[in-house]
Amino acid sequence: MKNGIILKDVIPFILWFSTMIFSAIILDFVLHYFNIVFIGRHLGYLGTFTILISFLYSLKKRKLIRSGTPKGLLDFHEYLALSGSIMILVHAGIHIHSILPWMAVLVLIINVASGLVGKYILQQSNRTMKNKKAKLRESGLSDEEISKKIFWDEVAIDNMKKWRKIHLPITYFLGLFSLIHIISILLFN
Amino acid sequence: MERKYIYTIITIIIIGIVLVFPHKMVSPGNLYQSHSDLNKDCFSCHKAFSGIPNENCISCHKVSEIGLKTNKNGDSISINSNILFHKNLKNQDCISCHSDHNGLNPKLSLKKFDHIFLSESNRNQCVSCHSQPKNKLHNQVSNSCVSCHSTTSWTSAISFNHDLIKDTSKNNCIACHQIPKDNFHGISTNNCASCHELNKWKPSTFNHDNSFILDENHKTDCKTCHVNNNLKTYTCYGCHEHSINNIRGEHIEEGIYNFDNCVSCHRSGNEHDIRMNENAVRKYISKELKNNREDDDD
Repeated sequence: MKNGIILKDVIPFILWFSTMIFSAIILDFVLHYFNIVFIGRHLGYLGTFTILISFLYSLKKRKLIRSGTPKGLLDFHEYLALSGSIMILVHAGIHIHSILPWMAVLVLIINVASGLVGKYILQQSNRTMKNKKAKLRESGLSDEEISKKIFWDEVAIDNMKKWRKIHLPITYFLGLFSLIHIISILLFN
Repeated sequence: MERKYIYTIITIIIIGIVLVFPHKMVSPGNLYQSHSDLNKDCFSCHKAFSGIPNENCISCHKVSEIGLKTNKNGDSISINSNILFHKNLKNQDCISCHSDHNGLNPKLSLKKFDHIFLSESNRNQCVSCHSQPKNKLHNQVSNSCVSCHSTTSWTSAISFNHDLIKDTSKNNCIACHQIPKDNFHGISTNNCASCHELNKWKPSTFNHDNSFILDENHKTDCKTCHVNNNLKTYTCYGCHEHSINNIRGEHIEEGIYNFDNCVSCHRSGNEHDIRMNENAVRKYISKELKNNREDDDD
């Protein structure tokens, strides 16, 4: 376990996720440095639109559209949702006063994390597990011995599967917070 | 089905919280202190889906009186001889400059003013709003602010041109610049232009050759001649070549007894390039002639 999934899959994921947050901070800094913070406001619209487009995959999955392949649309979803999320993070900056936009940002970050778990960890972890099991079997271990050896890896994967399941409910609340935010902006702008 | 039920309840709760506590949930910040009494009455300024109409601001703040009557009670607080600033703005959209939602600091509630809102005729009348700085530099230059300053910020993009300085003050560098407090500038004259140009301070055109030519035998550390980096003094005895005994011997042999200030005659390391001043030469020759006469008399 120690040298298994956590080292091979989880840590790279955390590094990758941190890089995404860091890139949003750098972008925000650049906007402030060059005194072009007004771009941040427009990134809110652009980011939301980008994320909405990425939902074509969800429509395909629920058979509401015919065009496109699931694999292609999934890649499309991952790429656009991530790009849109970075834009929204830059749009939010760190100067939010009220609670609702903070909650929306928090939910956005959690949502990206849950999506990335599906993309980068779970797929890879399943592959790693499969290979590990095959090697242990080749070395002549019984099923029971193999189960003992990979116990903690299986626990980690089970937890990750649960984490992935919350992707949809979180998306719902992200949509709800975003909608209230947009309505309040239109109402008071 | 059960999950949908939970979603609906949570959604209703969230919307309910937003409706009950709109200020906490969606307000971008407290209002500027003078407007704090409007903090929870959003629609006293905002009109639903229509932004913030100027009328809502002007109903309290008459544009023609801003700068004359600015306090809360409308009391006359100044008789302003300057341009009535707000009255002459091209675009009288209050929120293009005033946000009011950035907290309690009034300065922060102002968005960055853009001079583009000013009419062409007022844009060049800088001193109507800005006071000319009372310092030596600004006392000496003409009133054309835009020659050096831009409208984006006062200090950045300054392209000062010394041509703007009145002729009578042009050589008075130290009226604006300070003489550097180092040994070298301590002994130099006040004629900065002999080394420095008006375009930039560095590089200067100081030439050591004017005092002493540093030929290939004299390319050494400053402190070899200027002991303790004291540029006010120098010595030629800092190297083995010029010992006091040698120098004394050579000069006395020629009948020269005043050899303390080497560079008064030697402007380079070339032993044939000796520029003894005329008086000293005359003195030397008359002395030699006198000695010869005395020898003849004997």
